[in-house]
Amino acid sequence: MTECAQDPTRAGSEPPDWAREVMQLSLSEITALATKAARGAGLSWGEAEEAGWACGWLARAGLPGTAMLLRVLERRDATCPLLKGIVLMDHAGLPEGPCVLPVTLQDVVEPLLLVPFLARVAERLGAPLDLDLGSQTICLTESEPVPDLSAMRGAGDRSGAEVTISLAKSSAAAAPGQFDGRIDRDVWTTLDGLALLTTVPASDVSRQRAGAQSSDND
Amino acid sequence: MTCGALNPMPEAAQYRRSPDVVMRLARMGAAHPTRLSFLRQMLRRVQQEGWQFDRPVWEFDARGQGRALYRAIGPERTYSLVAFGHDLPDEMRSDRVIATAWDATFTLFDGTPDAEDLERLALNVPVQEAGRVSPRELSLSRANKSVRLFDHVVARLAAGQQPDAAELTETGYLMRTTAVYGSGKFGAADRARIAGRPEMRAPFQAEMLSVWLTRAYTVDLVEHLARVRGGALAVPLAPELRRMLGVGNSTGLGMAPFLVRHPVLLNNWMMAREEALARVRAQATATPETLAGFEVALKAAQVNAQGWQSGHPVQQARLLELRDGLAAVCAHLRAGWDPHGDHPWDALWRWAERLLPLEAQEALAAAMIEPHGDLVDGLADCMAADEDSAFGIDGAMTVARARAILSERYGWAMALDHDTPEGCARFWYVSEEKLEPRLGERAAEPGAERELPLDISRQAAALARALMEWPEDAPIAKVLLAAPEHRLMLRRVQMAATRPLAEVRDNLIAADVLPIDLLRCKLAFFGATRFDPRSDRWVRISLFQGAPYPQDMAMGASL
Repeated sequence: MTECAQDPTRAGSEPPDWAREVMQLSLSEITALATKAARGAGLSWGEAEEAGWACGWLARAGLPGTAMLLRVLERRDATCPLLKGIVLMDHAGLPEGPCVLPVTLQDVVEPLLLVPFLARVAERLGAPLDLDLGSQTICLTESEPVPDLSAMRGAGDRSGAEVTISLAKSSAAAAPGQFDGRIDRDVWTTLDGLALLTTVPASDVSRQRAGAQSSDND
Repeated sequence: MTCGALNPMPEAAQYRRSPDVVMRLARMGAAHPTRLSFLRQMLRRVQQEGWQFDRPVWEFDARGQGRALYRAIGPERTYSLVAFGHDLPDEMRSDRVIATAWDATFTLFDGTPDAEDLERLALNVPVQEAGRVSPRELSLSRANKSVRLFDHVVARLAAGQQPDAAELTETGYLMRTTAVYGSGKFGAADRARIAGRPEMRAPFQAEMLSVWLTRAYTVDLVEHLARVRGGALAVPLAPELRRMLGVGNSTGLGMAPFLVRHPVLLNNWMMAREEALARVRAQATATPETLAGFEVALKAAQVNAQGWQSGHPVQQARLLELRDGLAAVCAHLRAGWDPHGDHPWDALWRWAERLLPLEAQEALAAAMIEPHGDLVDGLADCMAADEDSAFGIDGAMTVARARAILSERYGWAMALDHDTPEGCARFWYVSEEKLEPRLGERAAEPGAERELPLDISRQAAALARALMEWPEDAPIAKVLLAAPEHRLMLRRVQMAATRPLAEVRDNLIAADVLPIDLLRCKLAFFGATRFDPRSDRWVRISLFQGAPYPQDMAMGASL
């Protein structure tokens, strides 16, 4: 009922009435939807939890993480920023491996999906990082508080960009982010379709066994 | 977990029970509420802070259809229960999540709703999951009548008579909630939005407040219907009978995975309760006040055990053990226990551990904690959890360290056999139909390939096997890169390093797993009583039975 940062056993609830093309989800709904969709798309449960966390983090920064996730899940390949972000985060501070800074990554689609993970890297290193997207640079100091990145909406080359991660030359404190839970109807529908791949169709046995064994009219 | 640091009492550490004792499913399934339970925390705060209550809206017709508004006005903020009454045909009444209509539906509103809010809520709250609420709402819930008792009470009050006390005791509530959703569900406010408020910091405070106000609604509704039927002849429910009524709750598998999915919370809840028991046991002497309070609590436990009915054979046997066990405690107090000896509470506890069944042991623990509010109430502050801060994985941890944690915290899992048919007989999954957790038979039902990761002991054993292949000084980051399927378990292992009570120490996919044990443990932390299993995966309980009502608070009612 509460405290559901990560909640792999619940799908996002079904918004019933798409009166508008854009829907407002809660943070826990975004996290749950992204987690289940990532799992449905074939990631391990632990990676799917990271996807859910990252989409929630991006929503708190004012960015549509779920839309980015969907585009990545639809073309999961070597350019996947989700798995790259996880690897960089896991290897933060290790003397050898993929996170020895500066790092330049080629051909990254949806590079903003790297941001939550790089915020964790900065936190672990105790040093601010610059993420150079070519056209713009984002400075990350730590994962909390989440910075306001809403100005970055639409930034980053979706078809594949070169990005460079380095220790920051100076750290400018960003304003705290404002949660933005908006999601487009078609994004929600497609992610929900992926999320449903983690569920099991009902059978008479499962329906019957789930309940009490007597009437509720007493 | 820093309960010890919060209110240092290092001498209590040696009295703590072992995780191998505390975290077994059978014992968790014998849990009793304590004064640290969430509804008790809510009632203490409301009383200490002098909250005010009113009911600015009451619009109901002769069939009980309409709406009501109950306000709880605290020192800084107001919360409002918005209640909708419906006229539900018997054939539509179901406690299952598959139901689409209920006798009453509710939401807890953050503040005081205006007419526009009420119109919006009237469109969405009565249809529950099929509707949509907003960040102004903190919970979404519904309740069904106990038809027989509800009708009996209305008929008696309408005729100017009080209902039969025995019937009230037997059922214990006029309505039972069949789901109470909070924390961002169906568009409601996220936990983070309210977690910083002192009155919402402890777990489930919004939900507890909502259910407590729901209890007031159920009594107001029977009195309303009695007035409609009996006119001037009708009488209100007598205060002593009213107090005997709680709110029922009917809970199924939907709640079962919660404690497994929230290891940090589980650890903090368990640590608080265990530290409370340890502090009591660590007392060198027993004061006259605590002895008197203990006797009152023990008597109340006996009364509760006598009134507690169940139609389920497992619980019937446990109830006999509970009644016998409490009687044995009373006999021991009269002849055996020396309340003036050295560490008398510890002596009593050691006696109980040796001789009493689990139900009675856990009931005794609650009774021993009860008169020690000064000693333990501060532990309530330790029961919330910042789960996000425990989420990140430390990839620099070495394989050797991960193995050491596994050995220290998951040794029990290594001893289990997950390869026999009995050892992996079940699988947890989410049903496509209702998006609700269910438990399947691996050999007989389809869907095991979509299993939920609740098979913790099996995953721990698999991780331990995988780590054997790696050099001791390798960083976990390299293991995860090669074997991402272990990521979920590795996260839990790192969480468990500093949280010894984070895991249920049993095989949750074994043939003999009883999901109601998970339900009962969580519900006891809510403060539930009268656990009445309806099957191995479905339980009814009562909340707030014997507790004061909002209007009693101003008169300094005892909690």
